Amino acid sequence: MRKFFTLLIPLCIAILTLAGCYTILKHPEVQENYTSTDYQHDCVRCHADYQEYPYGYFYGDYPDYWWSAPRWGHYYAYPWWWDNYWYDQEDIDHSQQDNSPRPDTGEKAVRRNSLRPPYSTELPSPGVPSISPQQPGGSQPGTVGGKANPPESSDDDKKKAEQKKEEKKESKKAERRSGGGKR
Amino acid sequence: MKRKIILAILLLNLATISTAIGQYQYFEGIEEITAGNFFGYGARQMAMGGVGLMTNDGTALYYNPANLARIPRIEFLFGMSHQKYRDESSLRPIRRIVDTSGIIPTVTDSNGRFESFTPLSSRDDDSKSNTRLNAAIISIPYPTYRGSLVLGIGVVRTADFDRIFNLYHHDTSPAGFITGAGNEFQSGSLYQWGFGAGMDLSPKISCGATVYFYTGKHEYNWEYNLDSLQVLAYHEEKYIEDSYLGIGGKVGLAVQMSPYFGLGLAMETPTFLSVDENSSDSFTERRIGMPDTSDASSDYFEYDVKKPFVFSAGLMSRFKDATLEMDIDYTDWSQLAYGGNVEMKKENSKIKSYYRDAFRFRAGGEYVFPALGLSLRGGYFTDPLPFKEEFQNKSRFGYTLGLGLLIDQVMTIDLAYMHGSYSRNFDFFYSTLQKGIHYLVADEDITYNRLFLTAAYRF
Repeated sequence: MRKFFTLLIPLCIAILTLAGCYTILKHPEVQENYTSTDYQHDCVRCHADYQEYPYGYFYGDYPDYWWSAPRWGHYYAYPWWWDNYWYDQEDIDHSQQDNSPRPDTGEKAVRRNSLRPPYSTELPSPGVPSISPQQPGGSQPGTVGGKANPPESSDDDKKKAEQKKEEKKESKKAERRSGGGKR
Repeated sequence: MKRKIILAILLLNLATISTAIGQYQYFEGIEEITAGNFFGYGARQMAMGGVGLMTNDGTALYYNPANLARIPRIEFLFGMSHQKYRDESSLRPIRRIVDTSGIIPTVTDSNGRFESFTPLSSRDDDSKSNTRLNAAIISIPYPTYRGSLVLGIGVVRTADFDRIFNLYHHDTSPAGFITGAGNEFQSGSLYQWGFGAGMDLSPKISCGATVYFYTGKHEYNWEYNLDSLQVLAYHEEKYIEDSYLGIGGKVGLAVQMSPYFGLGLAMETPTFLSVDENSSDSFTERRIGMPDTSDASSDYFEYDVKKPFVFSAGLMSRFKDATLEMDIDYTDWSQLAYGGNVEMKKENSKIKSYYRDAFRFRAGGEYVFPALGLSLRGGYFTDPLPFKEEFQNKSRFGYTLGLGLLIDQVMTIDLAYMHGSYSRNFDFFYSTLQKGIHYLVADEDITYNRLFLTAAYRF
C-alpha cells in the first residue's frame, strides 16, 4: 500500500503541473467594454490562432459523418455549455427574427448547428481565418487561413445554403444565447 | 481467493499422507482467482473484442482515462451483463499411483506429467447463468475556455467469480468399485469504483488518471462424496467466503495523430487487495465395522494480494464510416504476490512456478450507417490464461458481435455478444484404504457466452 501512494503522489503532482499548459478553464479578465453586437468580432480579432488551436472541442479531426449527419457530431463533439437553453431566450427581440425558410437537410441536429461553436458562425472576413466542416468522404484536408483545415461539404448546394443561413444569422448568433423563438 | 489446486480427500491418516507426499512429489499449485480475471464492461467495447484504449464514452474511466477528455456532454452510462458459464470435466490418471506402503505399482506412469495416462470414464458437466450489474458511470465535462477537462466517477464489475465445476470418477477392481463425485459452486464479483479525470494537453494529446477502489465478495462451496469398495463412505462440505477491499490506479495518454489514426497508452499501477476470509469445513466418514467419525471446523484469517502492473497500448484507425481498433495488454503475473501473514508469503514461491506473463490482444471493427444511427460491430480476442503452459490445454480466446443505436442525438443503446472458451487442468488426488493414493489430473473445458447491454444518455 505504501508503494502505491509513493507512486500515486508523483503522478498527481505531474498531472496538476500539466494543467494549464493547454486546457484553460476561464477566459482571462479583459478590460474591454464589449457590446453584444461586436462581441464575436472582437473575439476573433484577438484570437488569430483560433483555427490552429481551436477552443473547446472544435478540432476538425472528427469522422466525416459527424459533420454530414450532425446528430453524431452533437452527441460526440458538441459541448453542453454551447447549448441554448430556455432561460437564455427571454430577452430576444422577435421583431428582428429571420423568417426565411431553412434548407431542408433532413438532419435533425442542424437546429443546434452540429459541431459549429457559437462564436464561429460568421463567415471569414479578409484576413480572418475560419473553419468549415470536413468534406464527407474527402481525403484531403482543406485550409484555414492558409493552413490545413477541414474541407467543405461535398454537397456544395447544401453547404452554400447553410452558409447563407449562417450569414443571415451572423448578428443573431450571439443573440441565440438570449433568444430563439420562431424563425 | 486462494484456492489450492489439489482437492485432497484425506481418507488415510495424516501421517501416511504426509509420508507419501513428501516422498513422491506432485504439483501443488495455487490459484488466485482475481488473476487474469477480466470480465469486461461497456457493450460497445465488448462488441469490438474488448478494445477500449481509444474509446470515447464513460468507460474510458477504466480503459484509458485520457479519453475522458473526448466526452463533451454530461453522460450517464448504465450497463447490465448476462453470462452463461459451462464447464465439462474429465479425469485422467497421469501420475504415479502410490499405495500406503510407498510402493509404486506402475512405474511407467510417472514419466512426465502428460505421459502414459489411461483415460477414465469420468466425465461430468454443468452450467450456470448469472445476470449482473455491469457498469454505472457518470462523466462530467467541466466548461472550458480552451481544451477539455472531464471528471468521471463510476463503478464496473471488473472480475467475475461465477463458476461451476462438477467432478466424477469411477474406478472398478475385483474387490468392488470406487465412486467419487464433487460439486464446486462459486459466485460473486469484484467491483471497481473509479474516480478520475482526463484533460487536453494539446489539441491532439490528452492525458488522464483514475484512482480505483475495489470491493467484492467471493463465495466458494465444495461438496464431495466418496464410496469406496462398499466398505467406506465419506462426505465433505466446505464453504469459504472472501471479502475484498482494495486500491489501485491507472494513468493514460491518448494521441490523435491524424484524422485517421489515434494512439492510446495506459499503465495500471499494482493493485492491492485486502482479503478477509471466513471458512468452515466438515466431514463424515463411515466404515464397516467401525464407529462413524465426523468433524467440523471454522476459521478466519486475513491476507493481502498484490497484482502486478498492467501496460496497455491501443491503435485506432478510422476511414469514412469504418473504424478499426486493436489493443494489447502486458502483465507479468509471476509478480503476483501474497502478503499480510507469514503463511501466505510462503505461497509466493508456488506462484513463481505456476504463473507466467501474458499478452492480452483484442481487435475489433465498427461500421456506421450515419443516416440510420446504426453501428454494426465485431471483434476477436485472445486472453491467455496466466498459468504456465503445462496447466492449460487450450488458451482462452473468443469472438464478439454487436450493434449500437444512436437515438435522437442524446442517447445510445449498445448490445454485445461474446463467446469465449478455454481448457485447463489441475492436479487432484484421492485415497482409499485398499488402493492407496490416486493421483489424477482433472481437465476442464470451459465455454462462456456473455451478453452486454449498455445505455448512455448525454444531457
